[in-house]
Amino acid sequence: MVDWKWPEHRLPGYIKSHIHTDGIESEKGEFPLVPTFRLPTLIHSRSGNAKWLAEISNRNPLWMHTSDADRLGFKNDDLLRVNTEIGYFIVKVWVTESMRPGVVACSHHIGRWRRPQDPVANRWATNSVEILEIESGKWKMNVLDGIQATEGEDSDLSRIFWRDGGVHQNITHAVHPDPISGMHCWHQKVRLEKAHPGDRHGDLFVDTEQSFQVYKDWLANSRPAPGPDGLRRPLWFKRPLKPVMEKFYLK
Amino acid sequence: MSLKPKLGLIEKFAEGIGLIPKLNFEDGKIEPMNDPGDLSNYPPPEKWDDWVEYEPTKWSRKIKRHYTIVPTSCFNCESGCGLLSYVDKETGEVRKFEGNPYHPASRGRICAKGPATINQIKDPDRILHPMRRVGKRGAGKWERVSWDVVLDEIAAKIRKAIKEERNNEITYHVGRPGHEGFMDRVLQAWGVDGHNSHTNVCSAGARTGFALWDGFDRKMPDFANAEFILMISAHLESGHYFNPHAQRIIESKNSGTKIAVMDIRLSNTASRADHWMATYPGTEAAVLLAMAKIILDEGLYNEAYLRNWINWAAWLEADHPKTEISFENFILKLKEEYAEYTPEFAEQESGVTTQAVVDVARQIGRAGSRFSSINWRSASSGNLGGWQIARCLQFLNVLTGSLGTKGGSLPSSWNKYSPKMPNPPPPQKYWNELHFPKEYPLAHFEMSFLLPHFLKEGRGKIDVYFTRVFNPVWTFPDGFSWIEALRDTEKIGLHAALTPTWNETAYFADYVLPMGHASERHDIISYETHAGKWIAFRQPVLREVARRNGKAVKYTYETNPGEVWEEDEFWIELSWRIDPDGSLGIRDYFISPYRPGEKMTVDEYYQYIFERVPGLPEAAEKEGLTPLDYMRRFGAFEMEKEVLELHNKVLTEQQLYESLS
Repeated sequence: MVDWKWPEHRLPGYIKSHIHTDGIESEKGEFPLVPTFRLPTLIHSRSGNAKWLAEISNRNPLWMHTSDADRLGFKNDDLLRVNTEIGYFIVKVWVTESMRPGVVACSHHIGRWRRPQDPVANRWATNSVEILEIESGKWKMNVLDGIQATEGEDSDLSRIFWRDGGVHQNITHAVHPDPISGMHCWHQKVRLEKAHPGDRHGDLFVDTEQSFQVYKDWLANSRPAPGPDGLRRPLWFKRPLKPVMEKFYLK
Repeated sequence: MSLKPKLGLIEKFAEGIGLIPKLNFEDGKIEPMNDPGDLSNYPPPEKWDDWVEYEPTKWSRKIKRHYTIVPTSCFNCESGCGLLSYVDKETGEVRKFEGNPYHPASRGRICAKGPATINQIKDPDRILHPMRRVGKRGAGKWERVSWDVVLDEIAAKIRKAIKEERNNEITYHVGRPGHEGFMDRVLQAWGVDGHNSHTNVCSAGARTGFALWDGFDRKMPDFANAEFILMISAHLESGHYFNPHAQRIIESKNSGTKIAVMDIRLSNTASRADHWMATYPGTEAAVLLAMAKIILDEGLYNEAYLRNWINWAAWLEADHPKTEISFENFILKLKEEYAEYTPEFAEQESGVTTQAVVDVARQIGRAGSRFSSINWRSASSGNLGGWQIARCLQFLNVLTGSLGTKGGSLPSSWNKYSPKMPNPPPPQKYWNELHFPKEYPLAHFEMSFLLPHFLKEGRGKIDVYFTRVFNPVWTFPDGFSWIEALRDTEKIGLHAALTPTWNETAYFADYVLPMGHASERHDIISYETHAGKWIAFRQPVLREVARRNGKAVKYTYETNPGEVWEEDEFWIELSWRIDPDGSLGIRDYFISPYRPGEKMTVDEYYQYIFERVPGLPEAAEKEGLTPLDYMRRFGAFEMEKEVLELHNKVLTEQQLYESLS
């Protein structure tokens, strides 16, 4: 780490996260959002074509501890607007004791969509949405319909009883590249408020100019190659598809 | 004891008025499928060629169905657990998937996603033919197109790029890996630095933290023999390799092993823990360092291990040049270094009580070399500096001397087999800065999720972009920036989406190419799931059934639904068409290792690999089978039961030399 310009991290240490309490004003409805937890019954966006799995897991409400909900006046199933750095999404809240106070969480996998012009697909798991580019870089997604029972080749299509379809939260997250590992730091600082009139569960908004700016801000914290001897990368680090040795050196 | 099931009042009534079929229980004569006392969890392999069960959808009519049972591997999560597919011998239809008891990692136990493979192959909305965009990209209009046209059009574009030395404009971007070994070979045969992945939205944080210790970017615990287990995440239900791991963790727990879990939710995992530590996200390293301090202060560390395996003298020399170099001084200075990480500080940061931090630290110290820990994604993937969380976690393994030991944590590559492939191509002469930019020299690995921003900044362009089982518009952060990049044909010249089913990224492709699910494709799998070392086969089961019936099958798509291909055969075919006359030297790498000059078949490729798996040819011979036939029949092979303590093995001169090159 010393060789690569990070002497302060030469030993195992503690780095305060970008969502550390120092930067969270909880009285203003700010929270760290943990958006990463997986459900044992689904796999990313690839299980939308598995009807048994969609039947088991088909909602992704926002988990919130009872004490936080009481403090902010939210009730179970209230519609919330979750404001991220680059936009917002609309989601129902699930008030529970099974959650750490002061943190909210929303599961991955759910909130799949298709537009009216797209091929009919994954009907067990997709909302029907419209996507509007209000002006350059300002994107609005409105849910037109949740999941519907329907007629089709598979008679189970007519037995679909779930309607929710969830919300696509990841699309409202800015990129957070860790300057050392290159990891996308998934957690988001968010501000919660009651949904506005007209907001519908699953609706969302994003400004990509804003997301480009957040990218620039994080990029500025990196400490670029070369390292010792003009290296692009330590030779003893793994790298998929290793090129010829001379390519490891910047000219 | 009577085996006669009793009918309830409602059932009797319903049966009486003809609402449900006659249940036939009253005579007590349901013919058992197996001899009494022969109750078992799985059909024995000697009966796999003709296994009989009653037709479940026709109950209570007793219709016997005959199945041929073919092993394959799940393709849903990364574990790739062993499946058995039941193929109806009369209709040739795959009816269900269950666990393969001969799979060394999953051992016949699978989660809900394994059996749900049947939903995926029978999905009424799946893509059955190659599709080509009509009109603007993303407009939602498509036409059917032949595979010949697809292959020729894409091959011509790649050929042109390579001839013009635009090798860095060809990218293969993969979501769910599976045939890495195969694909790396293809990309290096083409001479492109074209591999992009999902790793940096997944495990880059933990990989960096672990690699900084010893170059091994993952640590996989020997849970089965641990005395204390610390998990950072809901590992039992959703961690990396959760199914093979969870069964071993629970077996350990049942024999007295204690478990601590850091998780913000009362997950299934937290609910099974002896210590649930709901750390505030991102403060895990503070708690781990407080534990390290307790282990140091209370003398619970493993002195022999530290003396042998830590470069403590080099550190003292660098950071404390005025101190005399001795092990005692190393411990002294280390204690000073971490003096501020009191359990009280950990509580203030994380919310976990001082008492809990102390309790868990002492149990870790007492478990010694049998302390297992895991962090794959979770906290190290959520937070700025998350890589330090994995690094601090391994610090506890180092202090207790529980790395590479029975019941400890093992470097991943000890337990993962790297197949020997035919005629490996040389490394490519290119470095693609869209994947490995200068700003992130230590990244693990490709800066995949920044690709749209790199393109927006004009750092480069992509001429041919393959996405394979990869849906960044939906799964990655900032999906609208992906939509903006994908719809721009100046930035991305051609986008081919290889996927079994439509998804939000495929909507913005030029070609959508249907590829097979778990039971419709080939792959080899070997993962660090436990202290053993194994290899498994994913195979197209209907192709195998056809072979068993003596029917010649040349390509997997012949037995797949519609015109669904598999990737292996797609890449071989595409590579031949990129280099139709052999002048680019690409074709050389897709020549049969057994028939000089002829195009390699997928059977030959796997035959070559399985013939070289240590111990497999001997095991196959005992069954009177070739290595390939052994894998077709059983689906998996365990080459070693326990790989431990490799660090204590003395190397020969030759091995030492090879490890340096």
